[in-house]
Amino acid sequence: MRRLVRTAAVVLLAALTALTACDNRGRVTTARTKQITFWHIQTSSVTREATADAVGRFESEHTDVAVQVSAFKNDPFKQKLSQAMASAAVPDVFHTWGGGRLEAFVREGEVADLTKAVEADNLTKRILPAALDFATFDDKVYAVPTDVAVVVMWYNRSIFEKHGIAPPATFDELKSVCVKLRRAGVAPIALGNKDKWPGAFYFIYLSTRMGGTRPFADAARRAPGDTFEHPSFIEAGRKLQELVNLRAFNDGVNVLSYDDARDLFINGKAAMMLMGTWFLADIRSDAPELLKTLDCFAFPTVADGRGNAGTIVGGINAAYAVSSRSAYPKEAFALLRELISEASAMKWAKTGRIPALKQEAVDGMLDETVLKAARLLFAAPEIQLYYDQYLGPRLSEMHKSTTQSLIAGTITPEEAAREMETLAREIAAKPKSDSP
Amino acid sequence: MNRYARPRTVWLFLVPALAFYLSFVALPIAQSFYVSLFDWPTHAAAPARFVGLENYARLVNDGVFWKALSHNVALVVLSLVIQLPVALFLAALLSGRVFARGFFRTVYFTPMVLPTVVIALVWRQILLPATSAGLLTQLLAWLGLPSPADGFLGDPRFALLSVILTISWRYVPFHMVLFIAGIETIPEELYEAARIDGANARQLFRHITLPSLAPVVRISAVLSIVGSLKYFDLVYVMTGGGPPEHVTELMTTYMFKIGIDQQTIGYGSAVAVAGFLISMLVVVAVMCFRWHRRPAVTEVHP
Repeated sequence: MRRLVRTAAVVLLAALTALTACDNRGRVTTARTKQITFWHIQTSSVTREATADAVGRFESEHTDVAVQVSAFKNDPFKQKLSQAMASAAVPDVFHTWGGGRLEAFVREGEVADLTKAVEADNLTKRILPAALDFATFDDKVYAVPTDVAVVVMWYNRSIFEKHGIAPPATFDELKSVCVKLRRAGVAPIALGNKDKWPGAFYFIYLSTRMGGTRPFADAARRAPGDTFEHPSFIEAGRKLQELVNLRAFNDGVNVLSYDDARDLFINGKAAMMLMGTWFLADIRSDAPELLKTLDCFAFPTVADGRGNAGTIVGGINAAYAVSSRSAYPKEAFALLRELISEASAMKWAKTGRIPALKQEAVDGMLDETVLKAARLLFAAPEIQLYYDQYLGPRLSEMHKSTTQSLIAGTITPEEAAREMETLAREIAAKPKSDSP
Repeated sequence: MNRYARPRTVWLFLVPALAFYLSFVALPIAQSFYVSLFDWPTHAAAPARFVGLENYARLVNDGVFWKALSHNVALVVLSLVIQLPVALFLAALLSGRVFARGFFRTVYFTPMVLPTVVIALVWRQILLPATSAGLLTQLLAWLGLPSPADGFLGDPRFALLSVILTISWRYVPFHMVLFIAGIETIPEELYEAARIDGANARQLFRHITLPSLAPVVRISAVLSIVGSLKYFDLVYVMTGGGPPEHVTELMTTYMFKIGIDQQTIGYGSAVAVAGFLISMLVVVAVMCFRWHRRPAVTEVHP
């Protein structure tokens, strides 16, 4: 009996194997003779689908091209791409955040120059210039951005109205708003800085408002005479600590995570939160009723600040570059074009993201709340990229951890600046040891 | 004389495990040591540069590493002082004739079967500030007692202790089970004989249970020491080594920060190797100590 069962199992297994083999052989082979590889990091179900849609549209138009898509999570992607660059097995089309990381690859000659293609295609007329800046080096375009995120100060309008408060325009006004809210028993600003990046937004905004975008760009590039001890960084640290000292933030800032802080904001225990536009997707899923009273304002200006008042902190969520080793650069660029086409942009806007297009090109696509933040973006003369996305991993960790220490009050602004500068010098002395 | 009738069979059974051990334990350790001799920023395009023992020189002067090591030492000491006595107490309690023994054993064993991340998130919630619905701070406030505004986990004075207590909560059941198993192997006659001699419950515990358990206690101690020296997960999830920087940093979380977050694999490996050597040294010391005390079990009961 047992023997019979065993024989039956083996026969069944063999039959199954044969069946699957048939299936493989039976599939129609297409005439897709060209193959391009495409790496992206859109792993959430909605964004993955939006990307797959674009690839589908591209493939139906280019019947001779097969796109082999791989989606990675953030950090594995960075490693995979570095390895691929080192071994010259670079994907034809790959995701990039632009900025320092992309520039390093450009300098190694790994990225195709898209300037002519972008101009010939009139893409420059549609794409948001501030977004294209992240992928432009020495006036040459190396990637096409598809969607952007910006950091703005979100606030709960009902709390503001209840206490008779108007959105502050200057840093001093922000401070007095904080004092007022504290007195009323509300935590003025929600901040969960366990993972260090949320607190870094304050430092970036304050130093950008103080000294503009130049001091950081120069210090990061190690232009002679430029330093992370520039007064604008020290003053940014001082102002950040002023906020901490007047208890502008909730209790337990250093141990709370982004999620914890968001809960404080959602539950009405905190009135404001400085966060990127991705915050909206969370609100939409966790507390849609809050959308009615959710509003935002630009980060306040500082007295005697030399920075542009409208500069917005943000970055590109995704841009796509073409490898200089690609066998089919034309087809690869056609895929980029599809990724930022009208249809793709619509899809992006539906997921709550802001397509990297000019205001007139996204007209009517964005919903009301996204539009409030997007208006600040369209009005912005420039975007300051998140420092940690611009810097190499060591300096970026140092920037985030010194900012965390500033908020915890365990370090002075001067010490924080000196630590950054010391590390930057150490890295500069050993070229390439901390490329972004 | 060959103890094994068929040495070839013995080897046959050994080889898979040995191959596994060599390729996934021994080789990576050796590799870490090799990598630690390089200046090797993994993320950069620059090739690794051989620097000899430079990373170790840097380690010796790295205040954060020593701080992390001191936290590991605190964890070792407090684990021994808290976990073993509590586990022993519970084991003694749950070995006797107690009401609903099976039920209580299961309840006390629960932390052992919960995933670490679940434990970390639950205890984090307990230890957060009152404004973020921290359970303990809210309870203390309700009782009219003071508690830190930033919560126990958010206050640098209490953060390390909070984490260590959570780790203890998680591992007490593990030692408890070892002790219960140990207690159940003690022959009942010993207790009977002692009772006839007029020993009370405390004396039974002190003169029979405790000495008979000595070998188990030593195993528990060794496991606890080694575990504390290479501890990582609860701390990583609960505080990430903060808050702020390095208040609850352990050797392993520091290694992770350098090797993975900062992508500096050479120096990160040096931290790993240092941690490995320190753990090894302590284990060897403890093992030697153990052999000397071997006769302890028998001397009480002639």
